[in-house]
Amino acid sequence: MSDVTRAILSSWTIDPWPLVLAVVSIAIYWRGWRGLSRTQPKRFGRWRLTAFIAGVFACWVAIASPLDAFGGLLLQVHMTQHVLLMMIGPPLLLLSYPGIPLLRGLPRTARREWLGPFLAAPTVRRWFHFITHPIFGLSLFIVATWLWHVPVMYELGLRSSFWHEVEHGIFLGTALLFWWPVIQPWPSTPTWPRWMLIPYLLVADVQNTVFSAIFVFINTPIYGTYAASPALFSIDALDDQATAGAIMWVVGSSTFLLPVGLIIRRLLTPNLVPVPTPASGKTPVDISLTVLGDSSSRRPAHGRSDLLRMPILGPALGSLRFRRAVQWVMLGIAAAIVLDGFLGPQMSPMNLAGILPWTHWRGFVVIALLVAGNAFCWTCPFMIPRELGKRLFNPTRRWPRAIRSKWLAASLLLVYLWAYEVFSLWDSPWWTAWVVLGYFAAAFLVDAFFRGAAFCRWVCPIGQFHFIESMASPREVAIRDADVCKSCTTHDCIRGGPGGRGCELDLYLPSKQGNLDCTWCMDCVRACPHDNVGVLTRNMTDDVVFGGWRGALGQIGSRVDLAALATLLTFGAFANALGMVGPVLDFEDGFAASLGLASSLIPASLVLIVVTCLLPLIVLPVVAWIAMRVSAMDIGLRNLSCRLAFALVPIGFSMWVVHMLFHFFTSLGTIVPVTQRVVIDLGGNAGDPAWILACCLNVPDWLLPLELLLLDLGLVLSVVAIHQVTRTVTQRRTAAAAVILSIPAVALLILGVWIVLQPMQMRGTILP
Amino acid sequence: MKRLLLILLLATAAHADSGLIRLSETASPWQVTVMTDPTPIREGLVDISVLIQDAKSDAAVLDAAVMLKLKHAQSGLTVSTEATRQQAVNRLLYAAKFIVPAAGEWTVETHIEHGDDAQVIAWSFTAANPLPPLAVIWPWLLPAVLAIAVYAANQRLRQSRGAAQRDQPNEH
Ligand code: SF4
Ligand code: SF4
Repeated sequence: MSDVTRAILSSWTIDPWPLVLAVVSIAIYWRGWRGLSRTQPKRFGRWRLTAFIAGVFACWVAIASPLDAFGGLLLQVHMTQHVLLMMIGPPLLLLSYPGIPLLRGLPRTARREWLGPFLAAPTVRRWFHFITHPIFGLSLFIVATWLWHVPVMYELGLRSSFWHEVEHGIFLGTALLFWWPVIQPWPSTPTWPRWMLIPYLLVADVQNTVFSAIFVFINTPIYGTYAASPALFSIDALDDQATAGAIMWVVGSSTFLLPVGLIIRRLLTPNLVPVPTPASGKTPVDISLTVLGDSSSRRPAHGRSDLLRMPILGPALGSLRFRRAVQWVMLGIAAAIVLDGFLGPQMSPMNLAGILPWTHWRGFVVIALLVAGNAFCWTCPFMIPRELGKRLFNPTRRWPRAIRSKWLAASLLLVYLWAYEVFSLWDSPWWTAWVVLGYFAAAFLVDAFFRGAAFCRWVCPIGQFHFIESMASPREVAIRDADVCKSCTTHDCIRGGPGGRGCELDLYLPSKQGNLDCTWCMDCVRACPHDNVGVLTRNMTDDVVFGGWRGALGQIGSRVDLAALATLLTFGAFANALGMVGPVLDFEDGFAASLGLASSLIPASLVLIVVTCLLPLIVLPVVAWIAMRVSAMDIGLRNLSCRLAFALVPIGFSMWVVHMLFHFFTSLGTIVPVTQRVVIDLGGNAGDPAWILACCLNVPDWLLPLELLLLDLGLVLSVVAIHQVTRTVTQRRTAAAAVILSIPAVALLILGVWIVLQPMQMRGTILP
Repeated sequence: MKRLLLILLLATAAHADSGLIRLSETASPWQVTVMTDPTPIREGLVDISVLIQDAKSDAAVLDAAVMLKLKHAQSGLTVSTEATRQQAVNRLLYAAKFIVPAAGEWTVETHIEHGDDAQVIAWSFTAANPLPPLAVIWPWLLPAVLAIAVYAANQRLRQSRGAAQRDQPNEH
């Protein structure tokens, strides 16, 4: 292969967003198609799946392959891109009958609760009827084709990547509408008799012929960009233009005339395949819940996806031995962190204690919380000293009633956030080692004195972070079938039994709701004699909305200590992120200088206290009070403020994820040279440490969009949660009250966006 | 408070290479074409890509060394960066992605070396002021607005469906 060919073939534009979209849509289609291919094997044969994948692939190739890289230099390549987006991808997608498989492939809640009302709405159906009408589709297709090839518009697309993407989106969208009546994907019914599609396709072909002929026969370059382009591969601008026209002509005519031939053949041999008849009513598509297989309103007991039922992962998660093995590995890593923290170089990006706990571990924690739940308590190495304490002292004392609340844990968390900021814990391997050691000692001592999981439940600040943030996670440890629990006589999930000990956190599974106080230890899974506990999916807002009775946790909507903890973590997320942005650091330095202070300890402490304590203490009750005035609510001010605090957890969680992932992705490579350094220090041979990985990698350009999308997700979940809470406490002016209660969420989003747009400290990396 | 390297994530907003053709001229023994993105160039991240072809055969030259030296007319500030094929999406080009630190007039010297041949091609551009951040990031905030609007519509539809069901006369 020549160098030029190799260069061309390696010119891929791997933008993560289209790739993610393509993979996710194929996964959703496949999930829906799997069920349909069993119930309707004739209609949903393997080739439908193939058609969908091929359609997605055609569209992706158009925008990601070397076609995109060379489209700006050669018109014929650019035209090939358009052909894929208008003539190849859309018909393939429609041939896969995408509507029902895509809908069935979505989670049941999304299908029923989110999309169901739209699918059933007459207005939406009328709209759909209108836009899939052949006249509309044909007109739009022709207008889009001609309009975007007018030189001014075409050049706009060439010069601006934004308009280029808009252009491609319009081509794809209008082509889907154009091909809709031709393919008439099931379960839609045609608006016109089949024979009318012959003139329909012929009109499209004639316009395409005229359009292509202009490119082939005109003897001046139409577009200035290509006229000025270098003669790549010795192709001059006019030859390039004529070839572009020829491609459009040949491929276009073939794709328009092929269905004409097929339609004529079908019409002439009416017994070949039943010809769909025009709809008598006004709706050409019936995507009813019956078609979706959702006619039953009862949610099946086993309708939620269960992590424990998955191959490999499920048995691993439920196995006590495997958990212990992972915890020992984590303990080994913690020991390495402590040793390196004390003995290694005190420059944090060069030390295991400077990177593993602050960059890598926290990154993995938030990713696990975002995609599943509190998986990191499952791996927690502090369990080992806890168990040791229990074995040695066999404690029987209960945690003192006076401090049986989250106030102690919340105070420790505040101290931790403060120490982290003012003493730059992340920048001191020595201090980090002491913190880890102190943690082990505390876990040992507390559980040596008190029975149950006293340390996890009442002390551990990291655990509180996991408990609160996992309220916005998509999975929970929960019972699979309530009926089984009703007939259960042993209740081993809480009492313990032959399968193992019961829940140390006093969570009784039938009344357990959500992830609060759940360490994902899986003791209940092993203890339950009926195999009735799973790690199930749920709505990400369920936990923060439900304010009712939760067994050992009590009436959660009125627990001020828990609400305070949630608030501290939500506002703490922003305070913690503010501590690393340029303008705030400048402000703190300036403030310290104006007071004649040598360090910014006092200003940094003030910022933390104001943002995490004072601000929510003022804002939440005030907003709740106004909402109560606007809408007569069946709840007190204190309880409404608590409910609002829980509803804000998702936006706080999103800020934590954004912050942690920023450090994770900008400092990920640091682990390589630091590990090399440790091996060398121990006398091993690991080659020269690749310090380049710790200082000079480019920040990925998808990071900012990802951060903004995560903040979006947090806002949306919080707003939805606030609306749902509002609905449970008032029937009057619900929308107005929800808007008022959403003000803090919107304000936090704005603050989050401001933070990510500021210059940020590159922690965990070495200055170049 | 210990200060570390500060980075501005906004400056990493992606641009593709190629873009607007700035110049295409013969600099013996090559035909050199320079492209820039975004259009117009603004203070912040820019992409400059260079296509080097043999002037006689049009064949792309793939093993040259390309250096860009920029000078800001107003302040005298200079920026030097290497353009490489590894940085380019289109692997026939040599691309450099870097931050233009100030708006205003910039002169660029494109130094090309290949074997015994060397050329310097001078050109210039005017960098406009950066766009306000919101003008750059709004497409990434739009999903939140749309999702909340869709949720509101969903709730309305549910409400009206609930009301319609309640209004239906009980046939039993
Ligand atoms: S032991 Fe199992 S079946 Fe019995 S109450 Fe607990 S979770 Fe339900
Ligand atoms: S035993 Fe308790 S803490 Fe452990 S997973 Fe079950 S409910 Fe959660």
